[in-house]
Amino acid sequence: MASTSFLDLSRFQFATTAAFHMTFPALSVGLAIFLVICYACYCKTDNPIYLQMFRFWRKIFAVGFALGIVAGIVLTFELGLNWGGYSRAVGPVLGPIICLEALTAFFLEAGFIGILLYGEGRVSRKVTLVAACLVALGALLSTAWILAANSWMQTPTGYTEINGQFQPTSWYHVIFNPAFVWRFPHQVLAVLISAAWFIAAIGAYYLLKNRAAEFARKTMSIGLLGASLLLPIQLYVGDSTASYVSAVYQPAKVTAAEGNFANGNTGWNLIVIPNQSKQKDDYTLSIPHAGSVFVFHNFSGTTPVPGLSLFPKSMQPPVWPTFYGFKVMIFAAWGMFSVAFIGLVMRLRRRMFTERWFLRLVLWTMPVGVFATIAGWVVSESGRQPWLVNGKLLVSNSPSSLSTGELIATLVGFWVVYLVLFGAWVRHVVREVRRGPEELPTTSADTPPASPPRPSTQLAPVLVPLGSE
Amino acid sequence: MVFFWMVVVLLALLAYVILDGYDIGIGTLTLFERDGGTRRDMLDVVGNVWDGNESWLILLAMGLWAGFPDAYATALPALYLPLCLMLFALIFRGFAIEMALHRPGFDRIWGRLFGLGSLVAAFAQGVVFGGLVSGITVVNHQFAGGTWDFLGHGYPLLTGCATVLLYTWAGAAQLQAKLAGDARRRASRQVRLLTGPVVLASALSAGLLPLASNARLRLDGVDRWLPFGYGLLIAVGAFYTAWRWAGRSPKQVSFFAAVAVQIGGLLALICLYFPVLVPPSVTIYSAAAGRNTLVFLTVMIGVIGPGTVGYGIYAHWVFRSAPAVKPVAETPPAAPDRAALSPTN
Ligand code: HDD
Ligand code: HEM
Ligand code: HEM
Repeated sequence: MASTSFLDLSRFQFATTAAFHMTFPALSVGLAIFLVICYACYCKTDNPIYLQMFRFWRKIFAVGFALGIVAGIVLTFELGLNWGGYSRAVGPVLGPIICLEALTAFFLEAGFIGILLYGEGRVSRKVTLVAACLVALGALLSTAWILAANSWMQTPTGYTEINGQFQPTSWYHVIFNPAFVWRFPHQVLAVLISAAWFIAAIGAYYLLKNRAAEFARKTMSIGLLGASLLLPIQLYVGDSTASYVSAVYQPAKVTAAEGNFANGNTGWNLIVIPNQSKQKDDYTLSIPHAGSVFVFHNFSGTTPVPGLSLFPKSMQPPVWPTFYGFKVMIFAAWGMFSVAFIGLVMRLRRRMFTERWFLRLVLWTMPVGVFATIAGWVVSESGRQPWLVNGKLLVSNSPSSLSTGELIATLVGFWVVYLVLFGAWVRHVVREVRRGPEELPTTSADTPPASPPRPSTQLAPVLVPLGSE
Repeated sequence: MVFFWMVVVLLALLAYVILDGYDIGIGTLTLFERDGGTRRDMLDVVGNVWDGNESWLILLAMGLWAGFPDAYATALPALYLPLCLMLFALIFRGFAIEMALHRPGFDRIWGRLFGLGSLVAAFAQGVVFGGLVSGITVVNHQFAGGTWDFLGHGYPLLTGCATVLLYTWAGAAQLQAKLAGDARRRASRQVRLLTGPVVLASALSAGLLPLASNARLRLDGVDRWLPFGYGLLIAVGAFYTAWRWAGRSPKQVSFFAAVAVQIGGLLALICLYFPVLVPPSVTIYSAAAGRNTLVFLTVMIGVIGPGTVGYGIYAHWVFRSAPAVKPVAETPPAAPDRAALSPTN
């Protein structure tokens, strides 16, 4: 058993590096799909506005994607670096899944991203479109595999334990474990919504600045339309995740997310100040009867929400992150849903693009989707405590034997590096947005105005390299 | 099956060292390149391949984790600091190159950071290698040594420098195949110049290995010493070839010779250590995952592997005449002299 402070450091390091990584897929998976939409529209309609959108978003996508990759490499290594006990125990089950992720998703993305980013002019439009589709497919596959791996840690099935190691008995059950089935769609919707909101907000920015009007209207429409279609589905899927997965397999997680210690509260807590050592809430503010409605779908509002006192103290997840992570996610969901709904109504009344307060609202809520996604992960991962593999492997039995000094040094290192890079990334996005989409080409849609002085071979047969050989 | 998966992991290692080796090497070389236009061309050579090359590192790590969990769980904590240093360097490097390519005007700062990240990454990987072959204390399936154990008596510092030299040399060899004109001539000169130090550093690392390592290095039996001898021969022959063909045509010869050096070196090492995976005590058999896992991995690599390699080659082929077209709307300030530097093939 490792000491608590040591464990906390290691957990904190994993949590922050994972949250940093998550920020980028949360945008780039959706952006990859958005790029496909733009380029497909361009191929179909020949309308240069879609090419303009494609090129603009591609620049934002490229740098975020690179950050996602390098931050992801850190995570795979951290599993072995910091969690040696865990790596040894779950390697035979989770190793092959992440291997599959590398083989099917990472190589696919890496193979075609070059063509997507730099291929214009070297390959035909069709090849560019195919490359864009494959990059998006890779991103989705990546999400699927990582969710399979993480969901197995939440609801492990299809294995036996031999010598302190989990050995797979049925790959089908390992991959399609009960949590995966709901969490995967929930995650895909989450990243799509996050990106859609981000895109809509940038569109709103240009409308506010009266720049690139047509580009801005198209961008904002696609973003908000996407969000308003996906959010209702997400509300349903999220609720099902809570009811059919968490409540069944990890009752302590939902209980912590509701924030009660004692049994008997039928209300829905808005604010709690939990005091875990005394096993009570120092303060609660709740909406009467609503808890019963939300958790049990009991519309008479009389079923009390269970409290954490049902579980021994050592088996309780920490309430702070689980409760507030959950609240952030829920409020973000409802908030975005309301805004998208208002947008829809205004769109039908043809006022959406001109109401400045609405545009400002969308602009300033730009990162809400990403916050919700990270908050959701905080719920899943904190709510799983004290287990690493639910019911089977304790976190306290899993770390490597490292020195505290080492951990602190690298933790500081990661923070410094990540803050610098995050700052640089934000600056890059802000500058690109300020600079705006390039002017629409006037003569031929295929000759980029400011590209290097090379002949355009867009229409040349596939794969004839430029001006060479 | 255990043996088969070991071969897969070693192939991933080889692919990584060959591919990322040259692009890290090119990165290091950018630190010594004064001409802005050439530097930009060097970045372009790396720009659309680095993430693919780095994917091999992930496959290597995950292949090791899946197939040999005990090795993953003991080697990584033991090499904690150099591995984290490598991660920091790789993070900077990956981000910096995208910024250098997408942010005209800032490519100087980001280009420098890219070079520095490359240098540190190469050094850290060499230290990891040196620390690993010197041996790791394992008790009850877990690493049980101290923070600085990996340094031993300093041997990993030597292998760190050797790796920097080797990668840089391979990078120069690749550059002289990819660039043209003056830049190419300079790269050829660098290949010539670096061959001596690379040979020296490799020979020193090899010679001191028996002293540094606490594992029993074995050359008993013809099935060990014969391939070992071949490995050495290949390496020596390839060193000479690379030196000899630098600056001549066909211009890819030096790079392929550098690849042969890496293959020969790895072969010789395997002969010394097999079946030990994490010296001195963890072997491929003691570390292997169960049968179900290995069968799954084998089927998976058989079905997906060829496709992966296939489109990897396709992507390299599309860009065979690097440098690439610049991302649109970004004419770098250093444009005028680019025409003279573009590749001719
Ligand atoms: C845009 C993002 C987003 C939105 C609007 C929502 N969620 Fe969510 N939620 C996530 C993003 C997310 C996530 C980041 O994607 C998580 C973390 C892990 C996972 O699989 O999905 C998640 C996990 C997660 C979990 C934990 C699952 C587990 O690991 O056991 C529950 C219970 C919910 N969600 C429930 C909801 C409910 C009831 C929502 C709406 C009312 C909701 N989520 C909206
Ligand atoms: C829900 C959580 C996660 C999602 C949805 C996700 C998704 C993705 C996606 C889409 C990429 C491609 C790069 C990008 O789009 O930015 C990526 C990269 C990567 N991820 Fe994650 N990831 C998650 C968590 C993790 C974790 C926990 C690990 C470590 C075990 C990991 C390892 C990696 C690695 C190594 C890469 C680099 C791949 C490359 O070379 O392309 N990811 N991830
Ligand atoms: C990308 C989104 C993710 C985020 C934001 C995230 C966040 C967190 C947090 C907050 C913790 C600390 C929990 C606590 O101590 O209260 C944690 C721990 C951990 N997570 Fe995740 N996680 C993510 C994805 C994953 C995935 C996909 C895996 C596995 C494949 C994973 C494996 C782990 C492990 C091994 C630990 C350390 C042990 C523990 O404290 O439970 N995480 N993560």
